[in-house]
Amino acid sequence: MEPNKRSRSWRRVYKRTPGGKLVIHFEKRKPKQAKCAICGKPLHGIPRERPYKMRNLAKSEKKVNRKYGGYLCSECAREKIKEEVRKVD
Amino acid sequence: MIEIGRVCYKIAGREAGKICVIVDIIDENYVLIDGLVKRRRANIKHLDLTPHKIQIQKGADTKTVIEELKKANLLSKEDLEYLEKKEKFGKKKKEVKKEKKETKEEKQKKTSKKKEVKNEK
Repeated sequence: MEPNKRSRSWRRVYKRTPGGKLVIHFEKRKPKQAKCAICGKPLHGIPRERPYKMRNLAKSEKKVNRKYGGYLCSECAREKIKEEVRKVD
Repeated sequence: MIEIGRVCYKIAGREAGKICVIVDIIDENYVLIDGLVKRRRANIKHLDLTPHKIQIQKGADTKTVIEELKKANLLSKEDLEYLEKKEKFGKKKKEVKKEKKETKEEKQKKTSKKKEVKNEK
C-alpha cells in the first residue's frame, strides 16, 4: 500500500476483476446526515455528498420546499411559525 | 370556533404563514379554505385560528374573499405587494399565450398553402 493511502479517511473497497483477481480500490468517505438545529432529529430530503458535488446540484435537490426547510424538522418549524403569527395579532 | 368566515393562518406545508378564510365545512376533520392560498381542502390540525371573522356566503369566490379581507384591514404590507405582483405576472402570461396561438394559426395557413401548390403540380 502506498504511504499516502494508509490513513483511515480513505475507505478500502475490495473488488474482483474480470480476470479473477482480488483488488483494493480506495474511496473517500461521505459526510454524516443533516440534523435539526433544535431537537437533533435527522432531516429528510438532503443528500449526503461531498462539497464538490453539492455545489453542482440544483437548489430544489438540496432542501425541502417549506419555510425553515433544510434547517428545522417539520414539528419545530410549526411551533416557530405559530409564535410569529401570534405576535402580529 | 370553526365556522364560515373565520380567519386563520396556515401552519404546515409550503404555504405556511399565509392568511386564509374558511369557506365551507366538509367533515369533522376537513375544511375548504381560500384567500391568499390556493383554493383547496385542508386539515384542521394544519390551521391556527384567530379571533377575527368576516361576512361571506357559503362557497364564495376568491375575488369576494380578498375584497372583504382588504376592507377589514387584515392584510399586511407584504400581502398587498404579493397580490400586486400576481396581477402583473398574470397579465404577461396571458399576452404571451395569445401571441403563441396567433403564430400557430399562421403556420397552419402556410402549410395548407404549400400542400395546395403541390397538389396542383
